[in-house]
Amino acid sequence: MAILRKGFLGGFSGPVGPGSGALWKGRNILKSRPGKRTKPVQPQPQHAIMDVLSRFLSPFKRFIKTGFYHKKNKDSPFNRAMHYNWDRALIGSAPNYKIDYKKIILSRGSREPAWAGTAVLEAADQIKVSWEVPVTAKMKLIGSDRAIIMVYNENEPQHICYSDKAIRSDLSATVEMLYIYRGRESHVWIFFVSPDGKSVSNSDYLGSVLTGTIDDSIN
Amino acid sequence: MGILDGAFGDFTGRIGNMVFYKLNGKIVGRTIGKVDSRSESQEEILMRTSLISPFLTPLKEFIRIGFKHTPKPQDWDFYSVATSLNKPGAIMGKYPKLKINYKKVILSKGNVSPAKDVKVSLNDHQLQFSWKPDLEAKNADASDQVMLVAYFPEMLKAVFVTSGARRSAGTDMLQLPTFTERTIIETYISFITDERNDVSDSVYAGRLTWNKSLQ
Repeated sequence: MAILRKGFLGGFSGPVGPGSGALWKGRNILKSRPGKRTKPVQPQPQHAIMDVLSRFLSPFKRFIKTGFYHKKNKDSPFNRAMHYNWDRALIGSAPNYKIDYKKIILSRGSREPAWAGTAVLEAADQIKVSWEVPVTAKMKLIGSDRAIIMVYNENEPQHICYSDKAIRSDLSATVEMLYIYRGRESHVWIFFVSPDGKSVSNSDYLGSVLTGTIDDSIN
Repeated sequence: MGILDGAFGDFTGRIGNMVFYKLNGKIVGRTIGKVDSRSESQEEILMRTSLISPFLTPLKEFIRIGFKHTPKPQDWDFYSVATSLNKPGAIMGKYPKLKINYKKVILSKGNVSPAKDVKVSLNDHQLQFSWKPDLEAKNADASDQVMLVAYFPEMLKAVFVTSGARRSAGTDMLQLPTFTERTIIETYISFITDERNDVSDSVYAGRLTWNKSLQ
């Protein structure tokens, strides 16, 4: 994709059809498309980060759209989420990076965050998430914020379970889990978004829950 | 292309490597382009900003009141005052080992008499503040209301009250949310007049630690 830096009168940079525009020694030039790479790709640390982080974040995309929404910025919310987590949320060294679930940020904003959030197993495939609203906060203003809860499991990394119906004044919500989530730790995050979707809180990590440990036959 | 704006010769737009635009009512110019390298003192300023701005963000609504009536240049707002006081003042150590000095943080500034003999105690998710009313002091009035802050440095969150008990009461309480693990609490206290037209300097009330074994 070529980008027109100076509108349609100026030079452009990038490939268009068989040609490719570039700025070379202060002049805008047009040359043929570059050929295929002949040397093998040297693996760089950023390749590994890109792989791990984008794989992890992509199922969260619809929530990142709200969580990193910004009216003015030209880059996409997902782009901003990648950027923010790039040097904060990874542990290990190249090429074996791992996600530090505690440090992953899925939304950023100045709204009142979730206080004293907890996630516990209610039934075999249900996680109950509860939170508090401090007495100092103005419940009238923030009471109808939607609570967005996301649950991630390594068994099913392409998919997340979520709940986005509860509002802040409910003080708790239940997330229905998939059967396949059983047997591994499920990681839970929460953030709040204003009814118009324009103001969000920082996301909070609520810890991990081992699903399927309660026997359904007892209930 | 720069655009000449009116009879006073203000440019806006780009001329060569310079960009001119309006910032807080003034025309400012700067060079445009990528920064390749920074000097050590520039890095230090960046680090100070990265320390103080996450600290002030959860307290934004508090410092909005705390610095509302502080004298300031025409194009400054409360946040400019807060950073200009705390960025040099409330950070200790030498680059690159900088840390926030919670004792020196200023969250409000004004002419009202500040709190004296402040004591804080923690019992079961309640912070109990007490102070000496000292109503004879200059600029102290019985109807002044107390403003309390509890800041949790590990979580980067805060709870605060901007209209608490009267100064004459000598004591007030701040309800904290429940915690699940050990939490450090930094506390501050300040006063606001009944007419909301002046505040006192904020006073550091001490550091407390919430522990599961305490309860």
